[in-house]
Amino acid sequence: MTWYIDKGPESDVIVSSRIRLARNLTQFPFPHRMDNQQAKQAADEIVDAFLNHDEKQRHDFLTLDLETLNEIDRMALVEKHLVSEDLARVGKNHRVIISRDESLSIMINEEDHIRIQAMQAGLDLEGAFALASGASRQLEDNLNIAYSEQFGFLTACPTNTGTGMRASAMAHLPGLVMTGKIRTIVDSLSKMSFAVRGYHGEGSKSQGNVFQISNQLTLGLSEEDLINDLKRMLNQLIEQERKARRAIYRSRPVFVEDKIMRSYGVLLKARQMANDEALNLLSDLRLGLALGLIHGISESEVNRLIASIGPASIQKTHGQPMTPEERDIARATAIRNLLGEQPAN
Amino acid sequence: MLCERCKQREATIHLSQTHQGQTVEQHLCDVCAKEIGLEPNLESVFDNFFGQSMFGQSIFNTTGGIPAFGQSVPRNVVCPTCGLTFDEFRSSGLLGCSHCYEAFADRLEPVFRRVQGGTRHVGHKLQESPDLQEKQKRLSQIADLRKALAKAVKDEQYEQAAQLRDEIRNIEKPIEGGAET
Ligand SMILES: [Zn+2]
Ligand SMILES: [Zn+2]
Repeated sequence: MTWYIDKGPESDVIVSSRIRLARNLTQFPFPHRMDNQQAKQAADEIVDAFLNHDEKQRHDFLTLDLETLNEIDRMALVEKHLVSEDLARVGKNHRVIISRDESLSIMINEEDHIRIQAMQAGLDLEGAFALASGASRQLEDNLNIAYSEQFGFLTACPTNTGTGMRASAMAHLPGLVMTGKIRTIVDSLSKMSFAVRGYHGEGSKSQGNVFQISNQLTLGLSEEDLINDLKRMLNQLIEQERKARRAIYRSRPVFVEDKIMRSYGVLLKARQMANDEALNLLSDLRLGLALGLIHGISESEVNRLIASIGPASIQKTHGQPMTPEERDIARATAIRNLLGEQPAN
Repeated sequence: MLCERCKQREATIHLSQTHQGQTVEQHLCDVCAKEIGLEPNLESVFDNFFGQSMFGQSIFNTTGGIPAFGQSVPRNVVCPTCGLTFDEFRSSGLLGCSHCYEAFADRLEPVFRRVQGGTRHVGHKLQESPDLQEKQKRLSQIADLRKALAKAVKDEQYEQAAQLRDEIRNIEKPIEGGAET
């Protein structure tokens, strides 16, 4: 299942769910202390352990060496959430193994030797966990994984030690943003030891009202407990968001309809559009779909569109580098095509 | 005054250090002081005899009216496998290798107590793979047999050498073919 193609549970609020598992090898220093030789050796072992024991696996997965990719291809992977920004940066033997349906990726030589990442559409942390731990088990069978009885899975940073697991969900929260409740909610979430970040994770600002919410703790709690805690909290958040949407629509129907329809109009007619603007307008469109004000397009189509119009993705589709202006024109065209208007030329 | 390291607890330890004419002040809570190795214990008093002249004049006292212990020089633990010192870990936030966990176990516990939900792993255990264990056992068996073989050849015990060679061949086969299962 691909998060930006399929429709998942609670998809009116939760865009996608993700599980990340960090693992390391005992016989090498952590990536920040490896030389080129060690980095290559570790990467070879990991790729071999995952692919060379299973014929089918070799067919279903693709291995990419980040160093051999150009800037556009690397950033396109980041925009699809298949690799982190850190992995896309120049480094020693950064590689990634990606499943053909793009639901699973294994980042090699990021902060840890291995970072398994599984994504599912909507709220489906269990599904993502099943995928990620399946991949982990396969690696554990064929590699010397760093583990201790006391501390669990050993990672470069002590904030990942133990389960090595970061469970997260991308939540679209326009209702809570519009009603101004988002501040208090973000504050109370961080007091409950959940981390809240913008669309592209670590440190980034929210774009298009999409927030990434994840567990902060990894040691002292089991994977199941961490996932259940996050899920319980997300279910409350989903209810809060739906309530906020209903409340604001009930109290100011014209304001809400006007905001959504203006954005829809711009998306339908604009000839040039920057990515930030597109994300904000598409947030309104998504809200319009959830409130039943806009028809004829699905949430998953909006997700797919967002995953394809980032600065790198749009150039990748085009097949060659573009100026920012050319990108803005191509982006506006792609949006119009999806929403039904004929291409401009 | 709040502790300048964690910015959460009240600072109870006030440290001023003069080094080459420059005075640097530090205000820490006991938890942080302990974590960075400034624990007023017997050991640090002992360290102080040697540390003071190297780092210049220092005053180290606690607000609780406890007598000054002088500056303590934290013993810098080193990971024997990768050579990372605990100080380096403290400044980068990253450990050097998986063996650092054993080397720094005592000092990591307070770190986990502060940033984590506990100090013990209760989640999924590492899959102890029978395949891998079996493979490693066989590899070490082969290494032993090879040693014996070399000795037999050297001692001109050719019959025994031939026997050992067969044994090695028998064990090696399933390793090479072991990938397909
Ligand atoms: Zn402190
Ligand atoms: Zn080490």
